Amino acid sequence: MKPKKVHSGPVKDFFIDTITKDVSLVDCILDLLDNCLDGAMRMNGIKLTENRTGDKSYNGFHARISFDVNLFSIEDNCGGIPLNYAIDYAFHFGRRADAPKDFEGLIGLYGIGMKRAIFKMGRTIAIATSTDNIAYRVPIDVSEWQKNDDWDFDIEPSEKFTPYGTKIIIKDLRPQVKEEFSLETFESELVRITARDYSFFLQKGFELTVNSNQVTPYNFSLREGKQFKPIYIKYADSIETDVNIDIKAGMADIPPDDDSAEGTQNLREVDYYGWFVSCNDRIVLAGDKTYLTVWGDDSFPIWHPQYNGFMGIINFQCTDPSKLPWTTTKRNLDESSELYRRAVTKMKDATRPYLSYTNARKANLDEAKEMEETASPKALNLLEPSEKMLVPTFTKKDISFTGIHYQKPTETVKKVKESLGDQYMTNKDVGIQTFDYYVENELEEK
Amino acid sequence: MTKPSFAKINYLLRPNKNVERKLIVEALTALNDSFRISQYDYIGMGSMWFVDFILVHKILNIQNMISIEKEVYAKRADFNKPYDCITVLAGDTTEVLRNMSELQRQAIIWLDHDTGLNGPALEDARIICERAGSKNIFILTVKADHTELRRETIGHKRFSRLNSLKQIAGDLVPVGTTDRNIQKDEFPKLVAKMLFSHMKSSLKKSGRREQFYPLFNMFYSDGSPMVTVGGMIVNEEDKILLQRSNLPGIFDYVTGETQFRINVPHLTVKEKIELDSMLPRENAPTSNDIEEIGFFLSDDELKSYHKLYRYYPVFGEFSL
Repeated sequence: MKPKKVHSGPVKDFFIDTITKDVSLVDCILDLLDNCLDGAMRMNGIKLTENRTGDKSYNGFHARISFDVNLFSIEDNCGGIPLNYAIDYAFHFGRRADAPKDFEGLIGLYGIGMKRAIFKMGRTIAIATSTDNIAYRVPIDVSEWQKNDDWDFDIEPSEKFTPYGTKIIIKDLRPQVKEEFSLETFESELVRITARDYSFFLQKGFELTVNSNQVTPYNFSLREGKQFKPIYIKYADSIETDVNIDIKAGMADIPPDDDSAEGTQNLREVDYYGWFVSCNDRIVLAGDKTYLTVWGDDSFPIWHPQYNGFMGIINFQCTDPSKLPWTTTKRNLDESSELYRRAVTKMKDATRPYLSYTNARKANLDEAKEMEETASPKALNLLEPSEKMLVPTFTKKDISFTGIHYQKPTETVKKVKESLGDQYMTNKDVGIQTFDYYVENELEEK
Repeated sequence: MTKPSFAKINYLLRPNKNVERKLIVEALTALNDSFRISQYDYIGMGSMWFVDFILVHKILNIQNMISIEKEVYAKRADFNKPYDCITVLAGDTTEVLRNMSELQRQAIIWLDHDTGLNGPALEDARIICERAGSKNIFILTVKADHTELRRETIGHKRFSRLNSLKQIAGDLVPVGTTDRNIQKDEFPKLVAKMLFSHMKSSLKKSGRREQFYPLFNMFYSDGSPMVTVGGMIVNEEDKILLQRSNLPGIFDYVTGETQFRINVPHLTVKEKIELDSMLPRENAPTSNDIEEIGFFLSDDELKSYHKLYRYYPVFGEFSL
């Protein structure tokens, strides 16, 4: 029996407005990028594996993103969208309950990403895709579609083309989208975010360009040396036993000399300190310093600039993406997930030794700095498993230490620095050297 | 080629800076019909000399003027202010701008910083783009000295030029920028580009519909390389009004986002008189022409002088 037709115009308007509201433009583009990566995985049967060096399973696959004020396009060679996939998910609304089980381990989860992305961006959309056995186009005129009662999109057969892949072109951009695309900062932001959030795919050989600029992966690393070794543990969740988890944490950078708020506010690298959460290699939460991960959760310390230099990263992997702790936007963590709560306990344990170290080093600063300098950055995928984080311990000294903190006019401090012979020295060193000078010249016993 | 010391001696008198002020004020005069510039406020950094304030008062007849001066020098600035209609506000620019109700009125705001992008310029610009209404004219001067970048030390870390620029300017650094864009000739262009980009994104990020309409992008060096960018914050209506004024059609130094270089030479009075006697003429005299007369100037300097000689200042000593 044919379904009864209802007048769907206003419902569609509401639908378009609603699904596009809770997602940013960057997120939309990343949704489309996720589809490319899923395609590559589908095409080559790439398996979820640990991130080891030399894993180049995405070699040869690419996605090219271009945009200007008139047009957005994304083009890939990731095998195209199989027809049944298109009918069941991509161009149908919501996933059909009777749809077959998707290829295992994909990032794309909710079948809504592509539609949401294109509705968010513009009103005229052309999609062309070719697999090794079928090719078709999906032209979408959003205004026409809104008038129509039918929710599905028309699929038009076309000639096959190579390389097998998908090309999406979006025109009649929405005014806000045009404006964002006209900002040069938007391009920088997109490159910065993709370099970070897709780092592991890019490292495995996936090639991404944004307006012809090749995106180079952000190089996550932790420092390792004689006295320093990051923790690296792997385990399967105790209840969802098919979810594999690995945790890496340690010193990414040497702790700051000046850990006051003003001393660190200009440090942009701060974005890369804190906890990262990733699901199937896709980073969903970056450089977190809030209750979303460990900080200030129950009795755990809240983030303090003293912890700058710490980095932890937890990756959840599962062939069934619906078990992973992320929300529909995939840029957000579902922090209420029980699976995630269980992992947080382990993240806290992984963090504590570092926090204690940042306190202990204060009383043994010179010694600590010397040891820190000898620890050199090591890429995450080169780390060896280690049950515990290794940090230096210090022998208790007979003398106890106390801290001094005071404010002085910036101009005067600048002059003192010049007088001490190094205008770029830290404020802390000014304090130490002037104090030592007093001790040297005024006290009999030192 | 580094300039010989006699070209630097005139540093305090700064002929290129002087020319720049006159150019900008001249262009603003042409907006008087459409925007009633004489009713505007002027917000600037007059230092002890108030050179721009005097010019703006005399030429544009602006009556309400505010000079922002560091707390320690504010009293002296107040003593030196040439007109009663100038108010000196004491404090750092960022702090003062944050608390300034005048931003709601129409104003020419010229923040003439002598620091680079690591100074208060970016934050100041953000404050203005968040608050200043349509019709406001915003001009921003910063130092564009690429050699200062390498020295950037944050905490214990030293950064390469590009890295250190990214530390300061983040996403403003265009994708594809390399250390090659951060050298003497290219850096001033890059700085201007980033400043325009900053104004546009600051307006957008604060959820405003108005746009930043670029008018000025000037580069000069009287010792330190300086970049001045400027334009008007406009809504749709004012944008049309501004376009109709056709400033770029009238003044060849109103170049929008393209950089206009002011590179007038330091001249002796005798040299100036000699050069002026050859002007105006269609093409700039060449360095060969000048060598025949008996002194030397580069073609670049001659071209700039040829274009800008009407604005060239003559400084002299007088006894008081």
